[in-house]
Formats: sequence, C-alpha cells, structure tokens
Amino acid sequence: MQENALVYKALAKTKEIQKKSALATVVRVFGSAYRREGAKMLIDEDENRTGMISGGCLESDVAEVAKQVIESGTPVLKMYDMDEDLVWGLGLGCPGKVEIYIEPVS
Amino acid sequence: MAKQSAFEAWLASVEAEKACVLATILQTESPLANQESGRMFISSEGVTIGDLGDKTINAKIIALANQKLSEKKPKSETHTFVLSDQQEISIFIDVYIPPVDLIIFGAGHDAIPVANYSVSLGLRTTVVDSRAFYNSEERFPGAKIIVTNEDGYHEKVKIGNRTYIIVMNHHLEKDQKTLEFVLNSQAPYVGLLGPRSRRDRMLDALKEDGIVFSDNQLSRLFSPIGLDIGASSPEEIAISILAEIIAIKNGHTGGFLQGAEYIHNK
Repeated sequence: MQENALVYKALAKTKEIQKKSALATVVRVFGSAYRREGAKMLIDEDENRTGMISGGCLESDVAEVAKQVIESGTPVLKMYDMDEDLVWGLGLGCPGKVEIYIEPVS
Repeated sequence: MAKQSAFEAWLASVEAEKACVLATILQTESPLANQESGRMFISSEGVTIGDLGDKTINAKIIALANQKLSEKKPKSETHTFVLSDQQEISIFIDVYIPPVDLIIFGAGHDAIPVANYSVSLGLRTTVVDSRAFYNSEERFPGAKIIVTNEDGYHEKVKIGNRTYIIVMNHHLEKDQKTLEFVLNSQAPYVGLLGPRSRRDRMLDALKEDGIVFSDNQLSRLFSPIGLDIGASSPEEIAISILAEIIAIKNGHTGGFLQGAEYIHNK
C-alpha cells in the first residue's frame, strides 16, 4: 500500500462523521526503525487503529497515550528509546529511538 | 462557506493525490485551541494557508517546503528554530508525494500478477492492450484499462516523468511500436520483457526505419527486465519486475542487504 493511504482515508472519514480521534506521527528517528519520519497511525475514540508507526512495538502504547490526548485535547510528544533494557525486557527487539507526536483531531 | 483551514487543505490535497507540505509546530504545553494553531499548508502550486506565529519562521518554512517539493525523493523531518526571545520551537515538515504511475503494455496472462502486485503496492496502475477480451476490469481489478492498439497511443496514453513502463505484449511488432512510443516520452523507466537478443533485434529494426534513440533514452531502457532472482513463474517474474521498479523509484541498486550498514538511504 502507498505509505499512509489508509490513514488519510480514515482521517477524512472521522472528520466527516465528526468522530474524535488522535493522529500519531513519527517525527524523529535516531538509528534504525521499521517506519520512518512521516509514518502515521490514527486512533479514534472507540480505539480503532489505522496505520502503522513501527513494526508493532509501539502501537499499543501510543494507542493508550492517544486516549488521554483525545480526552484532554493536549498533544503529546513522546520519545521511545528502544535500546532501553525495559523495552528489550518486553522482547520487542526494535533497536533505535523514535519520537512520536500524538495530536487530537476532530 | 468558511475559509479552508491548513489541515483541511492538506487533507484535501492528499486525497486528490497532489504533492504538498504540512508544517506543524510540535507543542505540548496546552490543549489545541483548534486544529489550526501553529500549522501551515504549502501546495506544490505555491498556495499557502495558515500561520506559524512568526513572520521569519513562516518565510523559512515556505522556502524549505518549496525546496522539498522540488526534490526527487524528499524526506519528512523535524526542524528546530530559535525565536527572537531565545525560545526553541520544533516544526515537523510533513511532505506528501503522490504515488507514481505504472503502465503495463500487454494484457496477457503473465500481466495479471504484475498488475495485482502493482495495485497492492499502491501504484496507479494502467493496462494497455487492444484485445478487449483480455484487457478487462475483471482480469485487472483496481487497474485503469485502456483498450487501444498502437495507433491510439498518442491520443489515449499519457506518460509523465513519474510514469513507469512495462512492455510485455509478447508480440515483436507490437513491442517495437510500443518501444518507439514510450522511449520518446519522459518515462524514467521502460522495462522490456524478453532476452537481450530480442531487444537488439527490435532496436535494429527500428534503426532501419530511421528511428534511433539517444544514450539518455537507452539508459532508461531496462532489458532484460527485472532483478536477478532466478524468477520463472509469472508470479516470481512479477516480483522481480516490481522489485526493480521499487529500487529505481527509491534510488537504490537492488541486491542483498546482507551485511549492509544502512537499510534506508542515508
């Protein structure tokens, strides 16, 4: 699929039906990462997810943050350092650092 | 009707598959008053909508966006600026580049996996063949169908500088006529199915008709087509062809990543 094509469609749809959502975008990458700057995931208020911002390592955490973002209306900029032992301890195995901006859309 | 906002203009542009940039200030201090605070949209036609809250920054971002839109393979990235009050702001420059086009000449059985994979890769895919029985939407779901022979090419088939071409008519004369048409276009890639001897035979025949191609034109001709993966079934050949197209589109050379220091281009 063309990069983000499904996210753009979902974004247009949520705006059309005025469903509250949060848009997560990879804004900085240090080292290696499965998805590069500009990769997006849309999370709506029913927690439906569209798109990928990593190889499956970060989606669940970002979706949790998205819930707060939808509620508070305040964007979050979150750095994921995947070299950290904690993350390795979870067996994720995606080295590199990725910064993700999660903003409300309505 | 209310004036279109930067975010809406960006989404509309992306949906219309037009190149554009959305610049967003990465701010996390307070709730967004609306979607528009700290955003700017820049279209490839020079339209700008929105405001980043500082004249100098606006100008810098517009210049940067225009530069990105003129690059062959621009990268989205975050830039950090220092404001006059020494405060730092980070702005994410999100570059949208529409998908490239792929035109397949020849609607034979072996074109089906090529078109299928191309559609699933998100390329805007077109199949050109005069045989309506073969060249149908049932056989090529998701692809645009142009039923025409060589006489209709000029009128019906549009080739730009982001249109990739595959010539696979399985017919010497048709391939020859097609080559003449597609090599005289801006297409960055013309892949020709078949062995080198067949290609040389066609180029020689064209030469006898007084049609000679420049080095530049011939440098865009890829024949035999595809990456060297030993492909033999139509499906394997389709992967070999599309892998070559992806490599050229991304400015890579193909081959194994085994032991490579970088996966993505630096």
